[in-house]
Amino acid sequence: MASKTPFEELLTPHLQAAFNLAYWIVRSREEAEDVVQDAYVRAFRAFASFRGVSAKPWLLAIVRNVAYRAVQNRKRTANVIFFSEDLKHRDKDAVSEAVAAEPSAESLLLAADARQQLLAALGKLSVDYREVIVLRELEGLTYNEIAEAIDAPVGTVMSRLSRARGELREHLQRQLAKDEPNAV
Amino acid sequence: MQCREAHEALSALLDGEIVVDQQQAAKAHIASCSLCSELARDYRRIGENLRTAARVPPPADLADKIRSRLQTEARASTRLAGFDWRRVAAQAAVLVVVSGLSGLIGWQLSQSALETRRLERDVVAAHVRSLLQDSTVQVASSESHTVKPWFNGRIEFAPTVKDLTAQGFPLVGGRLDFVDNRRIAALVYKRRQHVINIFLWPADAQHRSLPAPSQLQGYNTITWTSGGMTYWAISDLNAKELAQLQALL
Repeated sequence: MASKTPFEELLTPHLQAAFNLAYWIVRSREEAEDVVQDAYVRAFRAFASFRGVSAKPWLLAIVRNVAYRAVQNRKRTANVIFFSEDLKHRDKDAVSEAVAAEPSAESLLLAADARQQLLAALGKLSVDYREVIVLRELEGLTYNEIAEAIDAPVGTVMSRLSRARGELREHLQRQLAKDEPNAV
Repeated sequence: MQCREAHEALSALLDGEIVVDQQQAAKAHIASCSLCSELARDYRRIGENLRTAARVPPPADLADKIRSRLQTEARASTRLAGFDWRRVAAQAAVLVVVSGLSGLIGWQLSQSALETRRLERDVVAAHVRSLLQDSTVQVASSESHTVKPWFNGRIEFAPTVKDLTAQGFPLVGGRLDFVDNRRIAALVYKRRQHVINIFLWPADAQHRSLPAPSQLQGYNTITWTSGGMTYWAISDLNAKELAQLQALL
């Protein structure tokens, strides 16, 4: 096989991050897979014009755009009457799907139900909040990199992250209160 | 510092992104406020849990699938890039042998005519594609100073953007498109209900051409170069009014 191209060398290390971001935007593993494939093809076409310093936020910006478009297309083709019902199922499916997905060795450290709660809480966030949490907490991007990936000013990243964290915490507390009514 | 301010500072502090002159005040507040220090603890714990548990791993064969799609893509683009040249050159070689000097002139003409036909097909495809979308533009504004800066960093050149509302061609906005194997600027104008796409990109060196109107698949097109840019205008608008717009740009 031919040796790796500069494109592959630069972008294959970010496949996990790309898939993870796509998953948390579209909320389905199959759709995320399509999104990531399309995003890599787009990145490949645009690669000649890539002048950035860091490939990761550049790639993730493309993944995000493709994922948003996939969500829009889905909304447009969804049956209007059953749409909200459909979404409910999708959210439930998505969470159980993520839980069912082979857990990494690390994730075994967290009890299964705690993990389930965490994923459900993250799923409840609006996509604006969810994506900054994913980019910061899961992918460890700097504020500047997140700003590049979501095409927003750094100040927006900062306030969105702060509010997203607050909301995530509230969702978790509410679940905790529901599960253990005597505990709080 | 009050709690409300501290919340945002707290988040930035955890991420190591706080501005230096806020750092002391934020730390001091958190240390003295039980609510904020509890928040800090929770945020940190939630962050750690997310890192260990919320990542969704890609399917094992995804990298292979991408690699094979990219190979197809790479083959397609070399075919596209190589196709016209080699074939035209081969045809031209025959032509030169057969008809000497007149053949050579004919070759040059046919080469540029072929190139223009190929571009025209690209332009029609891009126009139709734009009409299939919910919106023909990614940045919607009739103000040239909103549309022009939007292209900064998205393409490697700064397109000239004019608002021609007064002349009866209101600017709808702009977007990126893909023509001639490159990312190019697309400006959208309207004339009554007709959508007009203007595609532009830096012209190849020394390439200059006068406005050349044409028609393909029922669309009127005009191509020209101006100010070092290659322009294509395309619309279902009649050729005369399209030429008016061309003159205004």
